[in-house]
Amino acid sequence: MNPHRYIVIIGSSTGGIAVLEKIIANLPRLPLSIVIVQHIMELYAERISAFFNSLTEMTVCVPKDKEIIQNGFIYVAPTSVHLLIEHNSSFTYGYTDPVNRFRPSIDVTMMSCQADKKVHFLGIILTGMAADGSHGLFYLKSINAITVAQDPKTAIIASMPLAAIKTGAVDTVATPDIIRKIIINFSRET
Amino acid sequence: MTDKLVQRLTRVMIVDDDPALCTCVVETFAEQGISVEVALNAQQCLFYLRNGFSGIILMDICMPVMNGWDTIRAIVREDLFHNIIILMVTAELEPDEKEAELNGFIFDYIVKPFDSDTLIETVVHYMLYL
Repeated sequence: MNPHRYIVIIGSSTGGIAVLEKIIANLPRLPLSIVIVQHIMELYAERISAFFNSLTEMTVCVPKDKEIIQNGFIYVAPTSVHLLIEHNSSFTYGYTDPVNRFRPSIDVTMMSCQADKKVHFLGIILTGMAADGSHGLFYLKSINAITVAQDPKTAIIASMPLAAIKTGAVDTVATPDIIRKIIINFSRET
Repeated sequence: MTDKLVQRLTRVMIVDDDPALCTCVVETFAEQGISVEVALNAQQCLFYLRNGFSGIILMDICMPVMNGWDTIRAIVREDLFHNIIILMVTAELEPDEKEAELNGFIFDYIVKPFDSDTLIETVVHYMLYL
């Protein structure tokens, strides 16, 4: 059994649903966990989760508070709470104020990850307004994560990936198709 | 086509102060058997929502008195957003950053000028989330 674990964190906002569909569609059951923090209104995390679940062999769900993170799962952050990753192994809901005007905030989720030689992180920022996720991606890079931003030319709203790129902490700028390949290869190459 | 799908396909609203564009959108969807409610301003949009409209809303950003952002704020304030998906229709490629807090209420953008096939494909696809 591989002692290493692989966690992908995707931050996404306006226009991100369509991009996420492209990334997730027909994904086989991968030996990694994907956490999606999508800025979305109440109730829609469950609807997105249900629809995404029909697109892939991975299991898609909205994680419960204290739920253990498992391989082969895609987790869609619930609305109205922050989604923190505790000890790189489970989720904890955060009830503090919105950060960057958002709750869930991408920064909060990414910055809850902890450096660990056996846990490998891949951080991704997709389309969206403003700059949520840029600090989080910078932090992830500091704990040896691979970092990716959606190519702003392919983003309906470019400011979020542009803000991430501006930090200097982005390893790769990629189209949604390439991002999909990076995820598939993540657990194999690291 | 199942009854359920037909029912879904009737739930579209265009919110735009340009009557000619609204007519064009109505005719485009009519060819597909999809009926469209027309709201020429924010108040008409809110009226439909208060009376139970649920479905896809094509929201123009630039409107007099209350623009698209103001209209979304009113929708949120009145708690009318639970059974709708808002697609912003705009000629602006990069919306005003000060509206970022409304990010979560917008599923996607449709950039003008758009062709009718893309419009229909986008709207019908997002109905899957309702």
